[in-house]
Amino acid sequence: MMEFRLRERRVHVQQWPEKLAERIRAVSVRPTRSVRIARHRSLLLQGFAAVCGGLVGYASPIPAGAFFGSMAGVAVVASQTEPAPFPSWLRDLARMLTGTAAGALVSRNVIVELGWALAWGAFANMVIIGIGLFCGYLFAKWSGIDRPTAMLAFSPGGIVEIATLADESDVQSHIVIAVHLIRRLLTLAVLVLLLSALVE
Amino acid sequence: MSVSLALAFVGGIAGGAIARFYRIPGGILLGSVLGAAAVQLALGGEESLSVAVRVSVQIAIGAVIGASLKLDSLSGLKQVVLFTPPLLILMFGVAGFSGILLAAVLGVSVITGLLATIPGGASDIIAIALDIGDGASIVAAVHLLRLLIIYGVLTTFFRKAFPPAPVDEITPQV
Repeated sequence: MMEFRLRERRVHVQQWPEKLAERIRAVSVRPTRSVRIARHRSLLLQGFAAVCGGLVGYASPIPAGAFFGSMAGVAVVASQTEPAPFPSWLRDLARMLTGTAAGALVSRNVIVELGWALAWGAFANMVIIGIGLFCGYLFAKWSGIDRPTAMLAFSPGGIVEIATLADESDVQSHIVIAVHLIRRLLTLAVLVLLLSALVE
Repeated sequence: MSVSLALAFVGGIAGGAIARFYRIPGGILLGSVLGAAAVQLALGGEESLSVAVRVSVQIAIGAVIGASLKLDSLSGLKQVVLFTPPLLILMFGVAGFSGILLAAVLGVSVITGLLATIPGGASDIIAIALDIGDGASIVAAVHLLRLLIIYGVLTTFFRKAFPPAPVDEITPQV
């Protein structure tokens, strides 16, 4: 067994120079002017689709509509035009903005209000996160989807934040987003029922 | 936008940039959350984000994620629709039970307990709690605590439990 593994590993190592040469060839082949223009046009169109889709989504009654509208707009345009991924710095900047927006919600008043109850709040959160991870484990087992994707899909956080985390990790983002959309819609439905029953 | 909120944005971007510089896996999000939260706490800022800022952030991250989605991969969502609802019902049941328990322990109303533990988006639930005026601070605190646990603990957990495949195990694509 060990010998087999070693042999397999040696084969991979032997293939490295070929892979490296292939990568160098890919980098050194500069795209033609027409391809570059098509890529720039695609990026501009994606930006336009993001803004239009986001505003339409915001005006719609869908929860986190701006996020979904922008995502859908860009996904449609990107599939119809020359493949042109966003530069890595732009992707990271969007992630930083999402994290900053979440962090800016924290205030001294919130911490003081919770005070001694912080431990109970943490305990309740651990229970909810734990059951989320367990549901993710079951989901992976039943559906055959990989565990990191399934567990992230059932992590009880905000859809925008978890989608950003999924994008940053190496998981199937579309599945995570779909589960969170269903959860968010179900949450709102439960809340409407709950509040109408309890507040009265 | 107040000065403290603007500085919180600077802190958030700085935290994210530091994590990016040191190439911490999953650290950009956590770095920016911690950076912004630290500045908010240090300056005692209480102002919440305006709708325009929130919508702009959602549009930006929506665009980035949308560009990485493949429309043909949506066919795999059949499994999601089939298996998600029963698991979510289980999740809501446990969350509801812990909410009632939290309300009993803290001596707050059942609505506050349930709003604090319901597994929804923090911004939605906090807005609803503010609207009905029932323990909004406790609801906000529990939800923010959950976000911090997810970013801090869960990111580390995923990194340890599911490490990326070593380079020599990547199969060649010929």
